[in-house]
Amino acid sequence: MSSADADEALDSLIGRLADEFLARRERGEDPDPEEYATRYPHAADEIRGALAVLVATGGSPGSSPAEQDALARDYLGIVRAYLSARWRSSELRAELDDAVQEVFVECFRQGGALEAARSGRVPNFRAFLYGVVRNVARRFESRPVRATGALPDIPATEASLSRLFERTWAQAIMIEAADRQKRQAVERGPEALRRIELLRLRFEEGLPIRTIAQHWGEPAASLHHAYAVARREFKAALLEVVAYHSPGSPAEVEQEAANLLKALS
Amino acid sequence: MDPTADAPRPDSSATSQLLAAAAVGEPSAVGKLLARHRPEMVAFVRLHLDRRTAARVDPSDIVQDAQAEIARRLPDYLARRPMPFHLWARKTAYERLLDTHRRHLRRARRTVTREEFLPDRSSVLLARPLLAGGPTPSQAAEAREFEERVARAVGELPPADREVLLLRNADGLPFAEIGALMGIEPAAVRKRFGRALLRLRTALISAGLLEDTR
Repeated sequence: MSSADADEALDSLIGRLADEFLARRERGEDPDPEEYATRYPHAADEIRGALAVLVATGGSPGSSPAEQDALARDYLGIVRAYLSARWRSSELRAELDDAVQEVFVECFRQGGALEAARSGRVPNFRAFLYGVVRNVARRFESRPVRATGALPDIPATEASLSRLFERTWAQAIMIEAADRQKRQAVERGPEALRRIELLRLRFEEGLPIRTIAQHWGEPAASLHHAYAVARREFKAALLEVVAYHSPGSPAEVEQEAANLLKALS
Repeated sequence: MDPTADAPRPDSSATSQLLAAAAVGEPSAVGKLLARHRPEMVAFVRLHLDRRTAARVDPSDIVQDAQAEIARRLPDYLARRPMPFHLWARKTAYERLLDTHRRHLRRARRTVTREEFLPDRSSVLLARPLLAGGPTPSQAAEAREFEERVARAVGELPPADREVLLLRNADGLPFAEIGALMGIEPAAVRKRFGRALLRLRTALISAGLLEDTR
């Protein structure tokens, strides 16, 4: 094999392995470059180097499909619920899908919301996302009325629309925290799963602890203790979720969590 | 998505249904088809638009041109189906983007070939993940300087290398689709991607931004 052929074969091998490595990272796996280097000892140095570059450049803020998926997963429901409520009695509800898509195009574009959030230029992503959603909503609301459409019925003041967004956001965060607590309970075992059921009966069914204790045939005192533990676990999950969406010092995260609870009251 | 596959991803069921409706002449199908793919096309054009061109042209104008062309050529596409619609739409937008870019550079009395097409901010785009985790405000100046150094290292790569890195890393496209966009075989894309990574490694090591593990 000539030197040029050998170079081409190496390029091709690196391209194939790097592609596989990147695809696994996009699926959320954490592949070890050494696994690939060991498989092809004759090109181990090149493989290590290329995959190190890929780790460093593999995924671009605000643009990679994986990040777009993550952003959509995290915030799509909030954006849709907010716009749906804002336009609840308006012809604009027919534009909901397009408006949600426009919000995400704004987020993904260069210099957009996601990039701003990643670069640390945005201290409060919730407020920033609200700004993007509000601007898109206003663009739709300011378009000429369609021949068949009635005038948009846009509710109330900017302050009430802002509160509506905060409430929608808070609801989504609480749901995510509850989901997180459930996932953690699966790892912690049967007692933790029982505490999840206890919270469900207490909040969703509205049953008093003593009634649940009677159903389960247990002393109410032990259930009160389990209930306290379950609430602490939920708060811990909530703080983790809040810190993910609104990074800050522990005190700032606590304050943000308190603000969210207040928005729901 | 399986980026290692040598075939493009198929269209979604919703797109396939709209294509079927368009094929039998349903009046609203084409509009719905274009509306459905517009955000993806706009995002793609924004990502690849050269900064100098972006000062004069809005991405949505390029997408509008591309969509007009898609509407005009749709009967032929439906008859032949040479590739999935999502890829054809992206390819049409990409070609309009290249045309726009060439036109603007020509006005600037510069010549450019397809191979030389380069979104200059791609260097920064590819470099930025090296700052993953994000700088604290107090580190911002230092981070900017670091980013510039990385971007300069990326900027040393041949344009074709940067383009394939951008399409795979930033757009997340599989080799088969990159090949369709660039007019080369998937195997050639794979080779070019591997070569680009090895060259970038060398550039980053030379700039003192990556440890030499050899």
